[in-house]
Amino acid sequence: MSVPENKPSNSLSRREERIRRILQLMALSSVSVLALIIVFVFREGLPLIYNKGFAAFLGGQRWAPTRGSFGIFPMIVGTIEVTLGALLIGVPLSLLVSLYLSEFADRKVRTVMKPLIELLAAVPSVVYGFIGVILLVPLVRNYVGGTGFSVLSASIILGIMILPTIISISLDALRAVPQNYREGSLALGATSWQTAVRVVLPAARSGIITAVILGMGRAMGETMAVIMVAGNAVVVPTSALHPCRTLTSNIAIEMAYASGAHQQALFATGVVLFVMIFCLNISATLFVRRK
Amino acid sequence: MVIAGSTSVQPLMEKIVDRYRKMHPELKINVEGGGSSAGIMAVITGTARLGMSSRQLKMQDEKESSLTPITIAYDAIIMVVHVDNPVNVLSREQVRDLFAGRLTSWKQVGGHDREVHLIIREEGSGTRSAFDDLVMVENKKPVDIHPFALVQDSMGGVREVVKNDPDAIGFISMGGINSDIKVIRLNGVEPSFASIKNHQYELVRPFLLLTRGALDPVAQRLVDYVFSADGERIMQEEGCVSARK
Repeated sequence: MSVPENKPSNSLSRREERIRRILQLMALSSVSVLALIIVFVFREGLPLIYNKGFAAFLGGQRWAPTRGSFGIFPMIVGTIEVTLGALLIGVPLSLLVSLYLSEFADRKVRTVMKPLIELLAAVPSVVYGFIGVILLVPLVRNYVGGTGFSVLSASIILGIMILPTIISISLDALRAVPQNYREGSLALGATSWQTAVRVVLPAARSGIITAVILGMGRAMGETMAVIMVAGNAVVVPTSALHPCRTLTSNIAIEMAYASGAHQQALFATGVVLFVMIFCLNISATLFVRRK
Repeated sequence: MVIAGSTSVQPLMEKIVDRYRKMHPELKINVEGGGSSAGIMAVITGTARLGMSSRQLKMQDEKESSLTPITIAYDAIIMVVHVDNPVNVLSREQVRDLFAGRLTSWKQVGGHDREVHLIIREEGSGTRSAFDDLVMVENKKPVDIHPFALVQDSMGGVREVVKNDPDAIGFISMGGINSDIKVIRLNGVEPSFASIKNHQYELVRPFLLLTRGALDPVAQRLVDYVFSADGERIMQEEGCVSARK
């Protein structure tokens, strides 16, 4: 009896071992793609940064790659401004939405609303950009001023685009706060609003910060929608109504005809962007760990 | 066979060569960039069979080197504004001063008292380089475009912005004209196939192929294809005007 039982289990474990190996290989291949991208982008981009000088590339104000000027300072500022603008619009809105869904809404409302909000993430970015060009840009031009293609328009569009990321992660964080925190607070005579803002929200802090950082990464990396509404002028924007160009836009706009040093400069732009997003993701991971 | 030279002519020649190779898959033709001057040098030194140039031969040594220029197409820059803009005519200097940011109100060129919104193409695009060469020049020195000019990465993008913004001015190539936007008459000349070919319209640069001495049969057949109906259609797709008679 024991022999026929042993045989299949032996071959089963060998098969499992094989499957494990295959899965391991696949996991490695996705990581090696990342390694390939890093090596390639840095190999193409670093020589230019080195040749032009680190300070001249990062701090230079003039971008005229066909005439030998490679300053990306305006784009670094543009990226930061648009990202912060998106957070300014997106974070308060998403926090209120997730607080409502977590603390005040019926379970029925929650089960309908959450998937709907997550559906926002499935809308292609070109559609957001298109809506931005058709609706938002003329609104800004006619009622606020300027050309309408501006830091403001880009921030609003991005602020909406990061909603699903921030809402769904912070909602999970809020739901994970133990029920007895709420019960304790209510039993001490706090109102439900006081409980939500002073007890549940602080308890979910690290999850919410992670959500904000991930939303920030999404805003920083977004390209298509930003190109369509930001105006893409290479200037340091000193007003919300000024046009701006982000690092991702710079690559996407100019890659079609770039060659030689111009192409290298676009890869170098990618290097800077990569370092910025890498730092963001690391800090997000650290926050998750701390939790 | 190597074809080298102007990066403005390069996309057009690549398209034509691609189509041509579908019929003659045995041919090996490489289309390389490098710029007009590099293309002229490459033909003189023999590293390229055909050169591409987006400007007439001018330097003395180029003229003395027995190069034969063949004009294959004309690349015209068409200035466009919103259909409601009352301005119809601008001079080349006015266009330059608008894009340099020296003129900032439409009133200064005969329009309403409203701020001018500049729309340009991205660095590296052929239309942009034609605009830089033909318009943004003063005493033979390049003039920078005002940094606040909005950048679009396609002709359709420029047209879309100009169509929707009453204060915008942009530039496109000949193939992009439609009724959504108004074409500016440069010095009073309406851009048309005729006015481009007879040089009455000023914002035109030629696309040249260059050869040294007589063409060999293989190159001759490619040049014939450039001037064929197929070639003309590709040029139209790329926004230039064929020099075909």
